[in-house]
Amino acid sequence: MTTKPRNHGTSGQALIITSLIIAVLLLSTTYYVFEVKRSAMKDVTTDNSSLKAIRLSTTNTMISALANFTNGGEEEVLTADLNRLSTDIRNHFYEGDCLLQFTPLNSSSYLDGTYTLNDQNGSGISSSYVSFALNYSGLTETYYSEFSTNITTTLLLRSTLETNGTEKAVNVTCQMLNEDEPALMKDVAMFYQNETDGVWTVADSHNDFKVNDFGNGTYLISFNVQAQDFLQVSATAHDMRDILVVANATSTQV
Amino acid sequence: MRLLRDNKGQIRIIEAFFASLLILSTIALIPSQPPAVDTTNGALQTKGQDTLTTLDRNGYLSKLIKNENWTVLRKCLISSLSPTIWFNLTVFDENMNAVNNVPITSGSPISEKIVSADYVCAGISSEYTVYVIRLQLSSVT
Repeated sequence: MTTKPRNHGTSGQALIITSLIIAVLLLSTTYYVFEVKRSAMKDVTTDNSSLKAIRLSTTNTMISALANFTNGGEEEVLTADLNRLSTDIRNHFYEGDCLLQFTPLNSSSYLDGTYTLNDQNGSGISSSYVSFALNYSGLTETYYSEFSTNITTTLLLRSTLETNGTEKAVNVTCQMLNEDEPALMKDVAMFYQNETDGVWTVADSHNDFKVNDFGNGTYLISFNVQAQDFLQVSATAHDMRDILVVANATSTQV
Repeated sequence: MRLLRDNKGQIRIIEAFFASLLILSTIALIPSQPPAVDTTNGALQTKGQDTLTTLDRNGYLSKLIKNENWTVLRKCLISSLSPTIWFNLTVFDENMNAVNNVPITSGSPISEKIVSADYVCAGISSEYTVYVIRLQLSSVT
């Protein structure tokens, strides 16, 4: 009596399984190559002049929207302006088909891409953050680019109070930053408050109000007040892009 | 019965199928040849785009347009572009109505080959404005 070998007639199945494994390997290799090519296509805006121009337009639009919003404009201005820009780019970009999509950041601090902070510790922030995706199909090139733009104006205050006869001399050091880089102010107004929840009074020429500009984004503002030991100061300033930022600080006695 | 037992043909078909899959995958991986472009015109167009982008840093270009400061805009272009390049700039609003009432040009075209660089210029002032700028250029080849 002869016994059949166990693998008799199963060589075809093994061949099919092997072929499937090879096919899967081939497909995964193809997919990997496409993914590598796709990631290499990202951030091409640094090389392509048309895309650099579009990126600059998005930045300018965000600056305009933030300036509008911080000066009393509507909350929806950022989305409205970016929609307008996206439509204009699509309609008037004759070198190719260009689709600009955007997503304003929504997080614990940002609401619809905009964030303003005005705490009592000397920090004031007006900021905007939007992520963009750009699909560009030109006559000779096709690009896909993802980038994020952050526009932030920061005002930092440090205030000291010094007894000067019957009056007190207030020295406020202001530092203006645009995207964490020193920037110049367009204008600044100072207010002071003698008591908590008291009336805010503007510091003007009656208070011997002086602004010393160091030219590097740092300003020394000095004025005299009739005050007790407690003094709260508030600075309202525009940067050169017309973005308004407000910062409050409590003066420390020296 | 004989057909069922003799399955060598099926294996051959599967083998051929995978072979064709392999060939097609290889073809897909070969990068397509980009169409030939006129490098001189392409460079001129890039030059135009770069010039406008540089002028638009900090919203300077949109400020000049908003203030209708065409003389300064023309001088900026003359300073930025080579003397061997002819230019003619037209500013349009969003509805493609010409905004500049005076020609912003460096004279008569010096070549029949004219390239055009379009630029969407967004203003940075709180009153948002968008302009479409068309910069036509030609150079001595």
